[in-house]
Formats: sequence, structure tokens, C-alpha cells
Amino acid sequence: MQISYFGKLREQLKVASEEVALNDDLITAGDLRDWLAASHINGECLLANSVRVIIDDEVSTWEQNIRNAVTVAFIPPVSGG
Amino acid sequence: MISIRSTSFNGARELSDFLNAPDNRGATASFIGTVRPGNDTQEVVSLFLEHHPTLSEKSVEQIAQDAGMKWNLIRYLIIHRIGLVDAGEDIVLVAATALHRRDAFDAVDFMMDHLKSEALFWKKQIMTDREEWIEPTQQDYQYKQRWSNHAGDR
Repeated sequence: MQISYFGKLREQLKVASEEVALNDDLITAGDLRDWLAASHINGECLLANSVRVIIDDEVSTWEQNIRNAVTVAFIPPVSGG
Repeated sequence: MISIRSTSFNGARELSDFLNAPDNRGATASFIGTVRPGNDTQEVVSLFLEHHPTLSEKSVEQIAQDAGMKWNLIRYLIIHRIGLVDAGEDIVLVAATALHRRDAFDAVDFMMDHLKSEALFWKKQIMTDREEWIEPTQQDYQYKQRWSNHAGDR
């Protein structure tokens, strides 16, 4: 699975994207977030309430099943204009 | 039309080109956002606009579609920069033509409010001595919220 991080998350984690193999106990996007938060230095930034998840190019919920997902992206609050 | 660009654009010139195309408009409204050079306490050198390879443009398209559902627009144009945008450069242009002024005014206002806090971009302010990511303010969210019960004029 391809994991991507955007904006300040990319800088805080010092990684833009990475390939991960899912453990069997990681079922939902929330499970993945918790696991990544524990795996990375500064990983707690992923646990902020303002962070959202994109699964296969769709903004999704933390309850969404990710077992068959190809890409998952974690995004901080957006700001265009 | 929507254009996400990694190179400089001149908002006034783009607006002029947009208006050169004939339509049966009775009104045009537009907004051009420019990177401020800062204020007395901090000098802004540039903004860095990070984008998602597929979803940034889609999110802008969705905002334009939503505006088109609410108001009677003839044409619209959104140009949004990505990458490094220096102070003084234009960062966004939103324009709309309509038969009547209220449709054009409100649609442009709506699109800008949603670009600020809904379009998938991430904005970093680069100053002479530091950098910081910019997130929407409470006021930005309130500006967007005021449209939630606005049925539009269609």
C-alpha cells in the first residue's frame, strides 16, 4: 500500500510517501493511522483532530476499511485561494 | 474553465482575455488574489502551494459545479497557482459572467470562500527568517458557513 503525507504532515514526519505492508490487524483507516503514529518519530501529528484521510483518491472516514485500498493519503487542513 | 498553474499569471490580463470572448452577459464579477508582501513586523518572501496530483483540480471543479447549481452563470474562470508564488504575484483569479449582477457577485464570493477552506491545497508562508503553514482561520470557516443555508438564485 502506498501511503502519502501532505503539507505540514510531510514535513513533520520527514517523509512524502512510503510503501507499507499491512499487518492483519489493521482493518480501518483509523487502525492504520494509529499504527503509523506509533511507527514514526513525530507520528503523533497524525492523531490531530484536524487530520483527514483520502483512500484511493476519495476523502474518507476513519472507519473506512482499507484492506483493499491501493493508496492512502493523510492531509492536514487545506488552504487555497 | 479551470486552470491549475505552476507558472506566473497576470490576473488582469487573464480577466481581459476571459472577457474578450463574446457572451450575452449583463454582469461580470471577479476576484484576483495577490501574495501580500507582509506587514510592518514580517516580510513575506513567497507562498508555497502544495497540491494533490489528482484531487486538487477535482476539488476546484466541485466548487465551480456547486456555484453553477446555485446561480445562473454564463461562464466562469478559475485560475489557481501551485508551487512557489513570490510576493506581488497573483495567486488566484475567480471570475463569472451572468445575466444579472447578483448571480455573478454571489457566485464569485461563494467560490472564493470555498477555495479558502475546501480546495485541496496546502499553503506555506515563507518569510525572511522562518516558514509556517497557513490554515484557514475561524473567520474563513464562518465565511464558508454562511453559504450553507443559501439556496442561490436559480
